[in-house]
Formats: sequence, C-alpha cells, structure tokens
Amino acid sequence: MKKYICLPCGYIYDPAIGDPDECVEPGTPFEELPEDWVCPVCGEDTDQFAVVKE
Amino acid sequence: MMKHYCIIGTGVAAVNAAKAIRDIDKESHISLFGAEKLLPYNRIKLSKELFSDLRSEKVLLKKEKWYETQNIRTYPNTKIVSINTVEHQLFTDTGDTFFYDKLLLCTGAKNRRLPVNGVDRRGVFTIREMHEAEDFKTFIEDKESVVNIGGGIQGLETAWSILQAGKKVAIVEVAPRLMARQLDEKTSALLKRKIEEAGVDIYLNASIKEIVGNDQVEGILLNETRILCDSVIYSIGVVPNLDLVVNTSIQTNRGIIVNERMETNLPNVYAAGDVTELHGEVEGLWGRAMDQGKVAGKNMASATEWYEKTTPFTVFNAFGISLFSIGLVDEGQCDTTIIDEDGDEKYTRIFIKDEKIVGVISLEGIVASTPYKMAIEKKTSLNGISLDTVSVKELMSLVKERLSQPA
Repeated sequence: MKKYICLPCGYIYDPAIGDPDECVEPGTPFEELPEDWVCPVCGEDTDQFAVVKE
Repeated sequence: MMKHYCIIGTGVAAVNAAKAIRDIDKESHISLFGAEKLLPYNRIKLSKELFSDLRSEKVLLKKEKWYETQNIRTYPNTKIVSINTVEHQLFTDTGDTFFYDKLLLCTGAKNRRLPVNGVDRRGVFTIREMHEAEDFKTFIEDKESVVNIGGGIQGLETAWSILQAGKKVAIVEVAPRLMARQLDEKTSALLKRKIEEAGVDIYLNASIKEIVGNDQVEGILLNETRILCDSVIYSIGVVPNLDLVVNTSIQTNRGIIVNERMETNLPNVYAAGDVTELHGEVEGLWGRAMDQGKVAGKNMASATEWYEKTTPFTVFNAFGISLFSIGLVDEGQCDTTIIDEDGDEKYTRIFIKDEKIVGVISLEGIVASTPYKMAIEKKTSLNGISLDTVSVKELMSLVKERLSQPA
C-alpha cells in the first residue's frame, strides 16, 4: 500500500501504521480514510496529500 | 480518583496534551483555558494563508464536536491572570476561581517587538493571534504597499500572502541572507532571485533607523534609503510568554524550565510548547510543541513518557519554489557535504557528519523527502562509501540498500 505525504507540512500517512490517535486501524489504505480525517500535524484535508516517492 | 486537569493556553501543545490525558484517564475533568475567542486553531495559517477565510472551521485544530465527544471543557475568552501554586488555584480576569490537581502551562510565545522608533505608529503590525491577522487585513484593504520586516520563514510566507493579495511588497532583513537558519548560501541566493523576479524588492544587511510618518506610517528609513509604504508588518522571532509565572515559585530562565517529562520544579505543574526551556534551549517549533504536549499529557495522567527531540523538518512553498530542509544544515558543524546541481533550479545538498547523513536541503519537492528523512532518523552508517567521489544519486541508492537490510 502506498504512503502519502502532506504537502504543506511533511507528515507521512503510512497505511501500515494507520492513525491510532484517530482510531484509524493499521492496514487502512489512504483512499479509505474517513471523510473528515485531516492531517494530524497541520489539519489539512486529504486533497493536500501526494504519493511518496521511495 | 477524579481529578481536575487544567491546561492554560490553546495552542497545539495544549490540544495534544488534553488528548493524551483523555486517552489514559477517561473519567476526570479536563479544562482548557484560552484568552482568545476562538477554539484552538492552526496558528501557522495566519502567515501561510493569511488571505484565506480565517473564520472557516478549517483553521481549527479540532472541530467543536471533538471537545464534546472527548468531554473536554473549553473556556475561550478566559484569561488566567494569576496562579496560587500552594492552594492549587487559578484566577480568571472575570473573577472566577478554579482548583486544579494537575496544571499544564502552554502559554506559548509572543512576537519579539521591533526595537525601532516609530513602531507605535498606526499601520505597524505583527501577527501572532487571530485578531491581529484580521486587524491587519482590514487595515490594508484600501492600501497599496507593505514593508515586510523579517526574512525568516514566517516573514517570507507572510510576504507571499500579501503579494498574492495584489499589494506591493518589500522585504527588509537585518541578516546578510534569507532563511539563514534553514538554508545554505546557494539556496538563500536562489530564493532571493525568485522573490525578486516576483516583483518584490529585498533589502539585506539592513539597519532600520526609523519608521517614519505622522500619525500613520508613511515609510521606513534604512541606512541612507527611504522606502515609501503605507503599512509595515514585522516578524523577527518569538519570546516565551512568562507574564503569568513571574510572581510564582515556578522556575524560569528564558522560558519555563522543564525536564524531559515536561515537569517544572513544582510537583503537579507541567509546561509544554513554545513557553518551555529544556536543557537551555527555547525551540519555538510547531512539531516539537505538539510532541511536548503529548509527553506532558501522558505524564500528567500518570504514565511515564520521555520527550525526545525529533529532526526539524521545514517545508517552504511560495514564490514558485518548493523546498525542504531537514536536520542539521550548518556546514561548519559537518565533516563534508555532497551537492547535486545544474546551476539553475535543481539543487540538493547532503550534510554528513561522523559517517552519517545529518541534514539535507533540496529543491526536489517534498514528495522526494522521505529517503533523506529516513536516513537521518535511522542514522544509517555510510561506512565504506567514498564520500569524496560519490554522487547524491549513488549515495542515496546505497543508503536505500542499507535501510532495507535488517539491522
């Protein structure tokens, strides 16, 4: 599964980890994040994220 | 036992602390006191997105509903004016008294004041709080030209916002180059060129004599030059807000002194975020305030957690440039650096110390930042790699191989 990075702040969403603080289970792909999920660091919406180059 | 956790301040440290407490302690009362009228919001947007709708819910760190579901009581517009650390009391500006079992001070920092004659004239602004952003926007609605003092990241983001709003902008910086903390000379110079191409005049090595005018600002006097303008905005760094604790026995120096558990010298009193001083350092960084808040919250709720500094990571997207700066980028403190450039807008520089990558500056765009960040955080050894001849590309493919091997 692909990791996504928040363009304004650099936070990385890693599906293997999920976002336990917001009850997003590990294994949740970025595309399946809840609609109101925002970047836990800076609060941006998912449209501000891009796929990480590895 | 039911406790009352009181948090003074409504920045990112405060919200993260409240959350960390609630994750552990589901029963107790948590109260968040803020002098501003708004729920905790993303202060960074006041420079990055100054001319967007700052009243929208999008600037809030957490939506109103979140505080309800988490059972966290918020007291906006409530300034705590004094603390009695013996009786565990807080006093508000409206005459109320609250008792706390555990107290967290997240009073943040205030903008350093510009020490120049004329700073009190109408039309001189500095933005830290929402109302200051709104006052500035109202004031310049029918104005034309702004002098922006401060060539750090916040100043440049503000300048970009103002330029996009259709105003004329000049940037004044005391230092010899822009964003000196995060960039090397090459990238500072490139950034300067891009900003000038966007139509902004830049004055470096400036010595600001006076902000001139009568009642209202009419210009600024630099060395021998006079720049005409109808408003001035400055951001020249921050200083911890210690007003509330000066008359208490809470120990301070430049900031409130804390240990790695975010404890002050008094039992049951903690501090986190921009107001703190840890090992003699006052940081004033968003990401670190967030981490300190989490650590403070956990320790307040009787867990044990130690604060560890994360690698600083700066992203800059403005004036048609997208750059990032990670970790230690001071060549004086490094053994060597490796550069990949084409003389124009392609530039990546890796900073190496003790056979490890410790910092990177790059214009590759933030989506390319992950391998560098990983190498820095995992302290990947560069042992055996000929650092005199290796290119950035070769080095990073070797680093990737090493990262994928089990340690």
